[in-house]
Amino acid sequence: MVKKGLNYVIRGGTLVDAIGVRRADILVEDGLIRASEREVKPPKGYQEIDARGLVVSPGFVDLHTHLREPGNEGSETMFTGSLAGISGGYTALVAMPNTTPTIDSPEAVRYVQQIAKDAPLDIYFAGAITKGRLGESLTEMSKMADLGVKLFTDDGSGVQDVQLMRRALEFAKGIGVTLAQHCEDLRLTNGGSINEGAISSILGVAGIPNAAEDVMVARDLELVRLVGARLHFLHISTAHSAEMVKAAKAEGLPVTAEVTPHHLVLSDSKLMGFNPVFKVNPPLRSDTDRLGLWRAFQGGVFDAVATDHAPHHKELKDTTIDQAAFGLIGLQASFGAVLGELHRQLDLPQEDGSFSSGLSDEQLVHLVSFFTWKPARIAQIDDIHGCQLVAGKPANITIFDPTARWRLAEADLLSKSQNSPYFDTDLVGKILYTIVNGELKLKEGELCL
Amino acid sequence: MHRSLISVSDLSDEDIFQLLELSRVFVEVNTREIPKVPALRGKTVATLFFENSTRTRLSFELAASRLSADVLTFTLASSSVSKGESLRDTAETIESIGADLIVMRHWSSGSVRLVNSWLDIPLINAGDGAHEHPTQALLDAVTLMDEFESGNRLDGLHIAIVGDVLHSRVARSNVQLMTRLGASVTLVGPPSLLPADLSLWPVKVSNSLDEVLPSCDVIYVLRIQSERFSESLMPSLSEFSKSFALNGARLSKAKKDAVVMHPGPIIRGVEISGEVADSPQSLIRKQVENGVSVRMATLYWLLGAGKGRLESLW
Repeated sequence: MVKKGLNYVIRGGTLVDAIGVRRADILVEDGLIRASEREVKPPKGYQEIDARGLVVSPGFVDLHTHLREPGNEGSETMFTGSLAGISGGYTALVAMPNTTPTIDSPEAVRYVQQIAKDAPLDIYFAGAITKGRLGESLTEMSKMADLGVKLFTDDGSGVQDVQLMRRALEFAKGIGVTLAQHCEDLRLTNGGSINEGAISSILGVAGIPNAAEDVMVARDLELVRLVGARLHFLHISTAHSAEMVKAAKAEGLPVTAEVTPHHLVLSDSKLMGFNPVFKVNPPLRSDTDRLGLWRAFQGGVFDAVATDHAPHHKELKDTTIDQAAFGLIGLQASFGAVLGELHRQLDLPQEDGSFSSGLSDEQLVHLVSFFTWKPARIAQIDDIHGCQLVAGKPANITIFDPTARWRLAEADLLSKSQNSPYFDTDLVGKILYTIVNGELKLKEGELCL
Repeated sequence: MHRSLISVSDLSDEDIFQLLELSRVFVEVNTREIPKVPALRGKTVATLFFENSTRTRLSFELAASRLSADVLTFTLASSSVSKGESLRDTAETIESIGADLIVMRHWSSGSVRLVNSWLDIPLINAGDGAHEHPTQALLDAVTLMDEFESGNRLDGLHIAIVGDVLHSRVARSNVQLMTRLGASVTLVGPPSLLPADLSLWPVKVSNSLDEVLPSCDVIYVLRIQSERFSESLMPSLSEFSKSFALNGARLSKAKKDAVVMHPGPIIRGVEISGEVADSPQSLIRKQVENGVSVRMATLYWLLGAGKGRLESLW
């Protein structure tokens, strides 16, 4: 939506987008990028954003957000989730359909789209593959697709019935939408709470084996081979699943995959104190798997970093590990967590250094791509988000300081829930400006609505 | 953070030494004509058991009585939990009523640590899920030290822990304590009843009791939690018994002076035969007896005037 009269210049920043890395000013007029040149000479009276020493990137796109509205507004609403998103550099969120009621019909889609109109960033909705996410019968996908739904998933669980999944893929192929699978064989999960391994064995907590994910990834790859439909793998958590995705891509199968910041940064050793904040599905895996995911991430196996932002109010987490809800929040710290981990992995100097703090141009483009144009393509919103920072494109822009080191404090959380796993994690890269369709929503790190 | 007894891993070597020494003091107290001391007069001990228990709860309540503490008993059936009260509210209510210490058992691993983080009074873990049961490990250690006259150590003993290790909090506490005290431990059971990854455990693992028996000084038989078998962990109880039950014929393959232990309750004819349970090599009754003394020691250690200093006992 074009907003009149929002005119300003972003001065002196380093642009990072699908074109590459370059120094340029950006002129924003009426919600669009009017010019992106070495030096823009704006008309008199235009405000300036001083972006010297900062990275100017396309606005971030989260493929995997739980906004809890409708049905669980005590944990999050579209509005509060949007605030957390803006603070984390996001201009677009794809909301998962596991609300109450489920987003599994055209009526439900219309209802949530109506609420989302007032949100301070762009919210897109994924629809459910099966009615009520019960895994029994398919939803009316084409009617929902007519309303703009491009992604369908039963996230929260996977489609267990293999025949139904085959039919879903065939149907999705016919209407040009993408299915996204939460890969988990529930018979193998068998009521487990955390990763099955050395830690669960010590703690005496029922575990979820890697195989619970791996068998469904393997199964669905065979279905993709059979049907030829696009499939997106949500939150890959095991090194072996990442390997299977890599091989499938090499073979030319039309699959994409996302990884979460928490599976890249945290491992199941965090559960040693039984802290339910770290209970998430898929579970935090062993350090071996975590490092395997890093190699896959840096090797370009994944297409997106997606938060799986899963807010839960205090009572749902303040209980025993087997009773506590699965899920953690991630929108505000996702980029800082991943860049912080990248610094540790690359063993970069810990003090603030040169402009990009030791990252090469290639590394910077690689990192930014997972938060911007790659997820935008999967969501089929790349005409509005994740665009190149050139004249004529919508001004969805995120500006961050790539060298800033920081810690997330509970008091800083904008989400309605406090279940962040990152309070003890060193974060690098502070989001300073978030521009949604030309409107400045975050300014010098502070919300401005 | 206040002191509690939740996990063997929380105990320093000095803590373990103190608890063993204190236990022996109370073994002596329990041989007296009137086995009661005024050490905890005026203190209130609450037992908060979310799972059924006979021996552990009675053992703690008797231990508290013999220390002259008042005892509050909470049982699940008659509680507000059945009305939907949260664990946190239940625990905080018991603290507010005036308990000075809570002895807690709960079906969920980690639950006692969680409750401990909410309260300002000490807790004793009387079993949390499949996680730990530290007073059981302490009473087992005292029983073995007494039997082998080995002071405060278990050096050189080879202990086989047999059966359903996967679901056993007794095994998790005992492996830690016994190996720290110098014993070597072998876990014996079918793969479906062993934890998935034992790489961080200081133990050997075997799927054959018959192979392990000849080198054992101690055969520690775990209770078979038959309620778990619905998940196809074993085809049948007799399929388990065939390879892993300790009967007279098997016991004869162990060292002549090998001893048999079991945390109770025993299921005769399943994991252990009646003949073995009642044999002179069985320490099962002795374990129960020492349980009271060890629990007196832990209560005194956490609530006594000198917080565990022996000289302040009388």
